[in-house]
Amino acid sequence: MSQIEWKQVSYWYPQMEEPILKDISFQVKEGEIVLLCGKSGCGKSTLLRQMNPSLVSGGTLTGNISIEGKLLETMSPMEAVKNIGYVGQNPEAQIVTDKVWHELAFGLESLSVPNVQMKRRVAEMAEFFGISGLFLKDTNALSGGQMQILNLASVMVMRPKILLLDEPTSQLDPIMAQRFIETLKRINEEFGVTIVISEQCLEQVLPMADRVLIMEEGKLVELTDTRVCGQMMWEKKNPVFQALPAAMKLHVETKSSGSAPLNVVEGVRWLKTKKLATFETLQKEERKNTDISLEAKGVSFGYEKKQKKVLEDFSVSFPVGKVSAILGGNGTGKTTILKVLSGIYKPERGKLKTKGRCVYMPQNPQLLFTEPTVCEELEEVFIGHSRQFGNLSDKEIADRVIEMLEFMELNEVASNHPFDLSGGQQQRLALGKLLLLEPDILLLDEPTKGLDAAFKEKMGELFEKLKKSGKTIIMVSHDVDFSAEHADYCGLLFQGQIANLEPVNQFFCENYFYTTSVHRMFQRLDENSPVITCKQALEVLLSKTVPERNGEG
Amino acid sequence: MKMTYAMAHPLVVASFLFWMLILTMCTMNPVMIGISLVFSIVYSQIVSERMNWRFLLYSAIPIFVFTMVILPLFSHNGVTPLFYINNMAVTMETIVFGFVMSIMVLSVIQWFQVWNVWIDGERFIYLFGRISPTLALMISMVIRFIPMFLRRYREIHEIQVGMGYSKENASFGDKARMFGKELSILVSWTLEHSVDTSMSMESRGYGLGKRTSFHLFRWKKSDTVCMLIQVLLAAVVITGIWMEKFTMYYFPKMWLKPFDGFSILCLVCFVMLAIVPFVIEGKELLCRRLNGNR
Repeated sequence: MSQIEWKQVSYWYPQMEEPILKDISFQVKEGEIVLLCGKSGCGKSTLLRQMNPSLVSGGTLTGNISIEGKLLETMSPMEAVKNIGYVGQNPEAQIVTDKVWHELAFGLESLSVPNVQMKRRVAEMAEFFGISGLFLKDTNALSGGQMQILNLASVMVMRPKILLLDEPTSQLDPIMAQRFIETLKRINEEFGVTIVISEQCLEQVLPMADRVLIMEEGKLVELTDTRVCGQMMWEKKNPVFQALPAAMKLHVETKSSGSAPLNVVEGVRWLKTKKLATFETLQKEERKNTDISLEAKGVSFGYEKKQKKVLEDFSVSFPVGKVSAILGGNGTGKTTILKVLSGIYKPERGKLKTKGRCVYMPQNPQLLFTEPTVCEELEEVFIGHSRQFGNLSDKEIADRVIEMLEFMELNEVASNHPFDLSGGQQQRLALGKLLLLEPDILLLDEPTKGLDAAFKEKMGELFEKLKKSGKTIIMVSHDVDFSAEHADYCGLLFQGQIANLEPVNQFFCENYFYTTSVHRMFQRLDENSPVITCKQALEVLLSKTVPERNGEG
Repeated sequence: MKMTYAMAHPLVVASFLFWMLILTMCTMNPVMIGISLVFSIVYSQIVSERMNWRFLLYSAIPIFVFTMVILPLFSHNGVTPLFYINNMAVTMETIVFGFVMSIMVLSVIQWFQVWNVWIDGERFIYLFGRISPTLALMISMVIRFIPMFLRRYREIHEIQVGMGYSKENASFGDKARMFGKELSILVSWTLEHSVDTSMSMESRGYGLGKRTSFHLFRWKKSDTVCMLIQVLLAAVVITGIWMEKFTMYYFPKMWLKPFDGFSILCLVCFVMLAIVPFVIEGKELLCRRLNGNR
C-alpha cells in the first residue's frame, strides 16, 4: 500500500483564480525517497505544504490527499504533527529557542511529554546526529550548516514517519550540504522514514533519490525512476535539466545508450567506454599585465584584538573589466574579504588601492530593500544619495530607472513589492540598485546562492554585459560550476590568504577537489585534460577532438 | 570565581537569594543590614570575574549622596538638630536613617548582582517554566532574539556604509533618515523571518497540547539537605522579626530595642544562613582532598 496518495488534487490560494496546483495525482511508497524538482515558482513548496495540515492556511483544495490510507482532513492535528515532519529553507529562521538542548526538546514540550522521557529522546537524537558536543551551546553560535542539522534533529525527536523538506540545502555550503544529505540518507535507511524533498541543485541529492517528481507550472509532468529523469527533462526541454549532475547531463546530451551515470564514479566508468582523442597539455600561462582595478597589499584584519586574524598579510590584485572569483570553505573569511575590499571594514595593516568606486552586495538581497514597489526601490537610490545626484532632473531620474528596469529584465514586476519577487529577481533588483550608483567595481557575496539553474544562467549573461561596459566584478562563491563557467580569474582563500589569482582554466585544471565534477571525471581519463565545464566536455564528446582553449586568460 | 554552590539546583540557589533579600528588606535594624551588606559585597566580588569595586563605588556614591545629603535638607523629623539651613533644622536622626537606608539599598543591589550571575538565562527559564511553560519559552526566545537583532542591525548598517553612506559628513537629518531606513529594513527582515519561525513552531505542534518545560537540572539529595537548612535558618530569623526583636525607631528619637538571648540566636542564624555557600564550598574542597587529590 502506498503511504502518501494524491488523487486529482488542485489547490487555489485565497482570492486567486488560477490554481497553483493543477490536477495532481501520484503515490509514494513507504520508505521511499522522492525528489521534487522544477523551476522556482512552479509550486514545489505549495505541494509539500499541502501534506502538512499545520502549514496550510486558507485556500481551496479539491481532490484527496491521504496518508497511510487516512484522508488528511480527517487527521487530528496532533496525529499530523507526530507523523509528518517538515524542514524548510532558512536555517536560522526555523530555530525558536536560545539553547541547542531546548530547541531539540521544543516539539516534545508541545506534545506534553514528561521530562524524564524527553531527556532520553533528546539525548538519543543528539547522539545520532553527532551534535552532542553542541548540546549546551547557544543556538546563535552555530554555523548555518549546524543549524540546519539541528532543525532536522529537532524534527526527528518527534519520530515522524514522513519527512518533508523544502530546499533544505540551498543556504548551505557544498560540504555542509553533503553532510546534510548523507544524514537524510541515514535517517531513511535506519528508521525507514519516507522522504519527500524539493531541491534546486540536484548534483548531490539526485543519486540518493529513488524516484523523481518533475513539476512544471503547477502540473505534475512525470514521476519517474531516477536514472531516466534526465532523459525525460531533456525531451520536455525542462530548464531543471541544467541542474542535474554533470555526468548525467553529458550522457543524455550525447544520446548515449545504457543507464545514465549519477555521480563522478559512474561518469568515469561511462567515459572510459568512449574513445577520446588525447589532450594537449595545458599551456601554463602567467597572467598578462592588465590594468589593475583593485589591489590589496599585506592587508591584515581581525574582529577582535585577542582573536586570531581573519586576514593575515593578504595580498591580491584584480584586473579591470574581468570577473574574478574567490573560492574557499566556510568560515575562511570570504565575506570579510569583500567587506575589507569595499571599505566597510578598515584594515589594521596594509594598503588598499582602488581605482574607481566600489559597491558591496550582500548575500541576502533583501537587506537593500526599503520601498513598497520595485520602481520606487530604484528611485530611492537617487533620493538616498542626493549628494551624488544633486543636479539630476526628475525626468532624468525616471529615464535611468526605466533603463535599469529594462537592463535587469524587471519591467513586468515593476509595481510588485520587492519581497514578493522570486530569489533571482530580488538578486537582480539589488544589483540594479547598486548599479545606479555608477560603481566601477562590484563586490558580490555569493551571488548564486539559492538560485535555480535558469536564474544562474541569467546571472551569467548579466556578468557578460557588465564586463562589456567595463565593470570589474569580484565575487566570493561556493559555486564551483558557476565560477568555472563565468569567471575569468579564480583564487582559493585559505588561512586568510589567497595563494594566487589564476586564469580560470588553469585554476580548475590544477585543483583536485576544488574543481568542477566534469573536470574530476576528465582528470581520471587524462591528467592533463583541460576540460572544466559541461560545454567543453560536450564539445569533446561530440567532436572527439580537443577544444580550442577559449582564451580569455 | 565559580562557586560550587552556583551549580546546585536553581530552586536552592534562588531560595537562598530570596531569603537574603527578604530578610534585608524586612528590618531597619542596623546590625542585620550591616551583616547583609558585608556578605553581599563578599559574594558579589567572588562571583564577578574581575573585582568590580568600581561598580560598587559608582552605585554607592549617588545613593549615599541622595539619602544622607539631599534627603535631610527636605525632611526635618527628629529631635537632634545638627545645624540650620534657612532656619530649618538638619537633624541627626534623618542623616542616620538615610545612612542605614543607603546601606540597605546598596546591599540589595549587591545581592541582585549575585543573582545575575548565579541565576543565568537557563536557570531563570527553568524557574519561570515551573510557573508557566509558555512564559519560559517566550523568555528563551527573547534571550535569543536580542543578540540576533543587534547582529542584524550591524549587518544592515555595514551594507549602507558599503553603498557609500558615511556618518562623518552627514547632517542630523541625514542620520535620522538613515536610521529610519535601517530600522525599516530590520523590521521587514525580522517579519519575513518570523513567518518561517511560526511555520517551524506549528509543524512541531506548538499550541496543540498543554506545554511541558524541558530542563537539564536534577534534584540531588544534597539539594534537599541544603534547602532544609536554609528554610530552617530563615524561619528562625523570621520568627525573631515577627516577635519584634529587631525593632528600631529613628523618629522622633532613635531607639534600638536591646538584644536578648533570642535576638542573638537569630543573628547567629542569619550569619549561618549567609555562609551556607561557603560551607558547601568547603565541603566540596574537603571531599576532593579526601577522594583523589592526595
